Amino acid sequence: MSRQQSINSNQTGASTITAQSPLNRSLRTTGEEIWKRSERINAELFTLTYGAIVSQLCTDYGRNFVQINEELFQMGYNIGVRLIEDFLARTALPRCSDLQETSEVISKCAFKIFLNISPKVINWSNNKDAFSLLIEDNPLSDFVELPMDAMDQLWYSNVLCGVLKGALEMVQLDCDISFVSDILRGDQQTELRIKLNKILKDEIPIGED
Amino acid sequence: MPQYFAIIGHKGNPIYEAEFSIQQGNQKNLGFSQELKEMNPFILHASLDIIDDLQWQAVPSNSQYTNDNSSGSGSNFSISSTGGFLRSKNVNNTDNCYLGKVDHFYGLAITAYISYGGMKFVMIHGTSTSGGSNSTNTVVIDDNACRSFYQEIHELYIKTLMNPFYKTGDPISSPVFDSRVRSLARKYLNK
Amino acid sequence: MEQQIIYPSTSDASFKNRSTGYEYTMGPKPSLPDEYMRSPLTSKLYSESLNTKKHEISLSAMTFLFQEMISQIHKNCQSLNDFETKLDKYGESIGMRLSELLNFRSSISPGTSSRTSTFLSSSPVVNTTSTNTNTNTNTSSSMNSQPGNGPNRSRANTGTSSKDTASSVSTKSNRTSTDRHIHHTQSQQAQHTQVESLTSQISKMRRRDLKIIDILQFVHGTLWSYLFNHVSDDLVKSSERNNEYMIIDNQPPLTQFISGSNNRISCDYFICGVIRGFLTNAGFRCKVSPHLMPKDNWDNRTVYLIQFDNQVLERETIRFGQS
Repeated sequence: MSRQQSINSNQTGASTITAQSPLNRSLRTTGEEIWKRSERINAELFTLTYGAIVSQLCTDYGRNFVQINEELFQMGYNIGVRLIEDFLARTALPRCSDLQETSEVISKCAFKIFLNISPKVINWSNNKDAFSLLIEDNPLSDFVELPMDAMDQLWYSNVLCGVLKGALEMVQLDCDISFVSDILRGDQQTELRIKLNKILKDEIPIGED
Repeated sequence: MPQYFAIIGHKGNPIYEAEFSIQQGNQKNLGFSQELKEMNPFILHASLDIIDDLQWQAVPSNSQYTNDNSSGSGSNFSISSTGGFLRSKNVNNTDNCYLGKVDHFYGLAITAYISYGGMKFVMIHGTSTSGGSNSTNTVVIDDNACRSFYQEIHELYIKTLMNPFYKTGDPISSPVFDSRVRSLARKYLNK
Repeated sequence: MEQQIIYPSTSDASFKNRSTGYEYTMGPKPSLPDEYMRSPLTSKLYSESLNTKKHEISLSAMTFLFQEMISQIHKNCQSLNDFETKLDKYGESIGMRLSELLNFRSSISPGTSSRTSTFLSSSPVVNTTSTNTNTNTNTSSSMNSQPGNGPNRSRANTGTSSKDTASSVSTKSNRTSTDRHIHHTQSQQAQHTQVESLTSQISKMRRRDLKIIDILQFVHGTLWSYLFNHVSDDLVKSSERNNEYMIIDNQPPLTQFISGSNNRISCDYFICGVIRGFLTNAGFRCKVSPHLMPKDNWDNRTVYLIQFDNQVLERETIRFGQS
């Protein structure tokens, strides 16, 4: 349903930047075509597996949710540094020219290819160094209801932040990434914030360079 | 008429309990008497052995437990599609989640339902006349309404179970679950 | 019973102050006289349909998560045995959920289920669009505020929910929560009136499986299709031992990228756990272990060996004669 919806709204030009840019249109096409070719698996198995991981962490860390957030982030980071190679190999995308382009690649290619969703890019900062992803129909959080004591502390899907952190770092983008709000906490929407700190220069670039 | 409903886990532990008493118009509270309130969990547990036995019967027939009733009451306890000649014909067609009436205790009737994961949903149906233990009124079970009620509860239970933070056998403390169960009781059992 | 601190589970903090859930230590609570006057409490979890959404994600995303889970467990384990037990436990928690869920879903009558699946697979975009563009008059104002929660519950349920609608409307003015929660709760109420229980699509529940062979067929067919989009490659009964059965997968998808056949086979304990959880929860206690048995061109061909407890066999003999 809404996983389709977000694609749909992009097509109808909900995001004006998107509709006008030819590059972005091709990014969307790229994402969709790669998705069509990908081997797939039931999203519920993914949801349940992630649920098992988080609930086990809650037991292991004695419901210390700050620590659990960190652990989820770390797991995501480990995934991200490996996932970026797979991503670059599959998309063969050139280096992004600016953060705006990066945001489109994340939304239309990365999320699309791996999770079959395309979060909306919203809330750009004035100097264009930070933006938010509006995640609708998050496949990680299906069937989830947070326990009362976790409501104010746990970022259930924090693994996503870690994945983005790890992946972006491997393409020389040092970013701060965190959740701003989550439907699971009773917020209106699930928003993930990405802020670029600096572009790393001193390392050998990975990927197509 | 009042009901006492419970979900019983694998080890005979209650994971959810509730009492339903529906107020109709300006009548007084039609709940269980205080005496019965305290007895209910025991009455219910006494019927668990029967349910355990029915759980693994090819055709869960409760006739051996209900036929010893005084004559006349038998027709009230319709056993839905599990009884009679249908038994031999359509064994594989009959629903074996809903067990219908499995036991009785003086005027009270006890119905049960077993989920696919072996959770037992059990309910004591009291009579509308104060539910006293010496009551000779028999409770009439509307099997269709009762079955639907159980199925809806089953669905709610599965939703509870799908939450990764819920572990099987834990008491279901969610106020939302409680409120849903009660509104289902009003919908199906308020007769 | 294992005692733990029990936390009420809900997604709306406003319940903190008016918690009315079941409390183990208190016993059953009676109905309250004004209960039907109250607004029905709802939440995302209980408002969402259990119906299958047929969503898919890429196998590689699942593999990345799976591998990270493996290394996470590995990091905290002393021995291989410890590792396999833990992985098995993860699988078990999934398998036992699936034994309820998949059986329940299988109960949906073919007529309604085909209608439903057409609905879900062919026109999701149309449906969500119409909801968001406010053609759905009685709920339009609040639907937009909770994207992703309601769309496929908007159909054909007026009969069952009219009472709930009435009661929620009548009490809307009594609310005393904070601003955020007023908004939140209202949108949830709107959803509540839209909830369609699957029960309305079920004319007869699927029978609980009572025999070993029946439940194994379900694992081989329905569970495998659910997990991997195909039935398992074989289901075999051991000719040597009465309590042993084998489910065979020529190419287990989750572990195919793990290097080293010994490592790979250890990681298959996850699927073993799923099978064990599924069977055990349904009343068939057993042990499940993976065995690598290459055949023809299938280098990763894996046999999941299921060994049922004696009590299961005894029960079957008593109930159904020679099994």
